[in-house]
Amino acid sequence: MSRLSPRLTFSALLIAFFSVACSSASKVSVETNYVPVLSTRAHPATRAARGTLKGDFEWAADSFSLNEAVFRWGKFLKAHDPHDGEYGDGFHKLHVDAAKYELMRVYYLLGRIDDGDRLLKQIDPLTLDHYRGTK
Amino acid sequence: MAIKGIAVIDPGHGGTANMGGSDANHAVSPSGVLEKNMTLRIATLVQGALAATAPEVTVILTRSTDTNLTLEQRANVARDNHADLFLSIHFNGFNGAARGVEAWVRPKADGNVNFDDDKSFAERVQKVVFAAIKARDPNTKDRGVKDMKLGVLTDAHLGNTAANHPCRACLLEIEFIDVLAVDQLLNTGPNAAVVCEEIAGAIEDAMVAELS
Repeated sequence: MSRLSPRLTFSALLIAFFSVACSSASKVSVETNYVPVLSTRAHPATRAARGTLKGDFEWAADSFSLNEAVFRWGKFLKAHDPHDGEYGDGFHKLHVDAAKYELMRVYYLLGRIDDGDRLLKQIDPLTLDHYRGTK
Repeated sequence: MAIKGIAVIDPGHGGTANMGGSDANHAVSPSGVLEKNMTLRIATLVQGALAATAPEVTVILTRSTDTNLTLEQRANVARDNHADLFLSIHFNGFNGAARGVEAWVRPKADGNVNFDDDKSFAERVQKVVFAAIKARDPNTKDRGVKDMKLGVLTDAHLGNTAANHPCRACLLEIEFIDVLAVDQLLNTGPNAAVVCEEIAGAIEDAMVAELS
């Protein structure tokens, strides 16, 4: 018994160490650097003005962390996702759809599954509900 | 037999202020050319081409200067002139890499009373414009004809009703002008003026065929 105790203690410590390590690896900090997937960061010299569709999109894509990305993409969609579902042109729809995909991805990275699923259903990329531009 | 009809061409955007769903400008080319100026340029070229080949077709532009109109006002130009065709011209932009030519119509599910006619018109225009650009640049893409709720294509604003729907309407996104190759093709390259005339000629052909 006296010989087993150190082994058991070591094994327990090993298990505890791997549990913590695996747990840390599977979680994403809200301060994790954010890199957009569909959009690219605009060069400061060519960045469009805030308040415009393009400028607000570039501002959101330029978020520094996942937490900031949730805030900025949300703000972009609040300003530019048409409440009546009426888009101005293809450029408008492309940017709103891209913003939803970016935000959906950030939700999943943060473990906010319900929020991500809600957006996925709204975007409906497979048109399972015959989604046609309406929200 | 002379081709007759009334065609309204809508150069997207314009001016400096957003007006009722119509932003002053969207895409910008790497050389700094604004989408609103390119749409007016192509629309004017189409108007000239139609005047030369189909003089009995009345062509009306929703704007001929750097001004913005609401989406409803643009469509109302078609309604007020009893137009047969309404074409809204735009250019696209996204991440400096995306390419292609696409056209849009209003969805049937959203009450488009002449969806099939609109789609047929859109397919005709998109096909010839894609071919015109493809002949100059094999890297362009056929993004097809899609549907979404577009304020400028609302039937009530175009003068279409379920009983009487004379106006076929679509919105054309010619190419992604934030791509350097497209900017060179349409704005800064040695053949830019010729390419724009070819695109306008292709649109003119499609409109004449649609009215025939």
